[in-house]
Amino acid sequence: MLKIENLKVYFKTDLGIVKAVDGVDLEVHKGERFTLIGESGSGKSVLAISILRLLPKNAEISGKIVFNGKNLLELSEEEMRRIRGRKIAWIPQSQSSLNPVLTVGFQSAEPMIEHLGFDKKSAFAKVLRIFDFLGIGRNRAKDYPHQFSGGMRQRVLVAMGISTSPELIIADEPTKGLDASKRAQVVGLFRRIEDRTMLIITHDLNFAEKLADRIAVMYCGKIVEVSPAKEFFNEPLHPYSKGLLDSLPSRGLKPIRGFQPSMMNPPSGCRFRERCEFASERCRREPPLFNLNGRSVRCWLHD
Amino acid sequence: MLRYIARRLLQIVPTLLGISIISFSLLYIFPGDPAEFIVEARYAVEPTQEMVKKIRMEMGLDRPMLVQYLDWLSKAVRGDFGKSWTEDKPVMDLILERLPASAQLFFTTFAISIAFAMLLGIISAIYKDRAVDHFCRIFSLLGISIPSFWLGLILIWIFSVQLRLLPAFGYGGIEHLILPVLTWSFSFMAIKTRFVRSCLLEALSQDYVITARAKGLPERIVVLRHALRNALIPIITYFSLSISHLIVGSIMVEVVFSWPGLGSLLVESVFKRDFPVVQALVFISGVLFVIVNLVVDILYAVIDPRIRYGD
Repeated sequence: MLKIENLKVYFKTDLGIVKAVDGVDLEVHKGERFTLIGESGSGKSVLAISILRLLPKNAEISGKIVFNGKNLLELSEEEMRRIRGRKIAWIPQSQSSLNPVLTVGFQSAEPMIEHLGFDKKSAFAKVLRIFDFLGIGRNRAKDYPHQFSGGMRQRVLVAMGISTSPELIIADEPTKGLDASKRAQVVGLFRRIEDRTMLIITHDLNFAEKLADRIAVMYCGKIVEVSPAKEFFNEPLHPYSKGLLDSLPSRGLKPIRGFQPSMMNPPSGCRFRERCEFASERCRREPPLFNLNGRSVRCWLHD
Repeated sequence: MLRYIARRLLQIVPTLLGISIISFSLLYIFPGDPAEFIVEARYAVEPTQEMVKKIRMEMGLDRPMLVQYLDWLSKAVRGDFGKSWTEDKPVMDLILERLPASAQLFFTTFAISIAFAMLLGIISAIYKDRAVDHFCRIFSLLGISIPSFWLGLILIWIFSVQLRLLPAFGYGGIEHLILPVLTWSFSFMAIKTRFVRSCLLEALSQDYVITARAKGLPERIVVLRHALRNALIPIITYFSLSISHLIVGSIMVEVVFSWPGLGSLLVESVFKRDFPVVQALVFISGVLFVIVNLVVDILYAVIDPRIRYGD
């Protein structure tokens, strides 16, 4: 359904070129919940937003993003606009993603009015049904975002995203800034819409474990591992994936040593080698993505 | 919403009292004896002791100041500002005579400057750093730096003296209105254009704009419905605060173009030391300003739900 090939997103800044996404290949299959995990600044959110082609103007993008057989990077702005919110929906982070001066009901109805030709009234009626379904409460549709808690705002954003029955939903850090009980509610919320194809971006491993069918790990602009979720959490392949899991409180709270390198001039070869306990001479050469019965990993250990 | 309005109404009472005290005390703040001014203003002779005494009694200037103030205030709220010292007419009549001319100039200028400031500001923000934006920038820079009395004189020289297209002064038809409005709105809209641009750019950089674009809304709706509505909150504040600037600016434009409005009435009255007129004009413009602020506060609540439901 969605196939990304050798995607590169570079930002030109005064300090130099930031290589936020540097040669990413991945595929999201129909009906699955594909989760992209990584630290803040690993380029995962940039990757997500580049699918919708909503990057800031100083971004340079190359490669291919093939959605239903069409390369999105070759579409005109108008053709792209008809895909956004209709075929591919975006569920943004909750904190400031709702417009403070419009009612949540209207904001949720907008995609239907724009893409499905609904009039205001029928769009609103459908919004009320979706609000019911997601446990928002019909009487809250005329309220404004500042009257909602973070968790409720997340529900509104989900309502907005699913209203047009899109083929693919991209959710950006759905649990960011929420406390533990709210995070559990968001898991429940996403379970309610689990029949849809989703690309979930998160740094919340617990959230990923509860929802994901497959997991991709992004490190410093590159995908370092793609595995089915169960296998990933049982036996991560890449040393970085292992480091991430070991740093969870439930698994020993061992942080990965060192810091994520600068995205302006990342280390040559394997980008994780300076922090990796298994690093050796061959890691100076860039490892390819090795395929191991349905999983892939970018590490010489699995050559 | 009603509670909000009621509270704002209560809050303006002390402000109005302050304005009335300042307007009234103008008479005494000015160095010299008011009674002497009256003699000079009315009879244009050197005042003698007797005349001064007589006037004092007649006008009640010998009463305690508080009594005078309360007397003045109680009449003022009913629209009675006494008689002009120089003309044998009530002050209110003088003001009402001049009001239509000022109102015409004021509203035309205000409407035109706001319309153009919004239009140019929005265009500049959308086409940021493109040729149109640079043109608008130069245009506003000129508007900010050219003094309006100079611009007025230059326009008179070009259009009235050289081209003989438009009258240089006077009041009546649309042709009389063109030059003063042009002069006045040019400087008035200049900074506002930049302000609209920066507010809109600020709003366009917010996360909810990305959300709006991600919904596949056309850019026109993203800008006008999502970004501009938010940008309007600071824009309205700024525009309304600048109304006082517009009132002050009107004085100069009216003088340059001999426009028979309240601004020139104020200047004439100050020169003639016709204090009741000055007091009345200061008081009325102060009250107007308070009312404008009140209307703006209510407008806020209409635009920004966070204020509406704040209480």
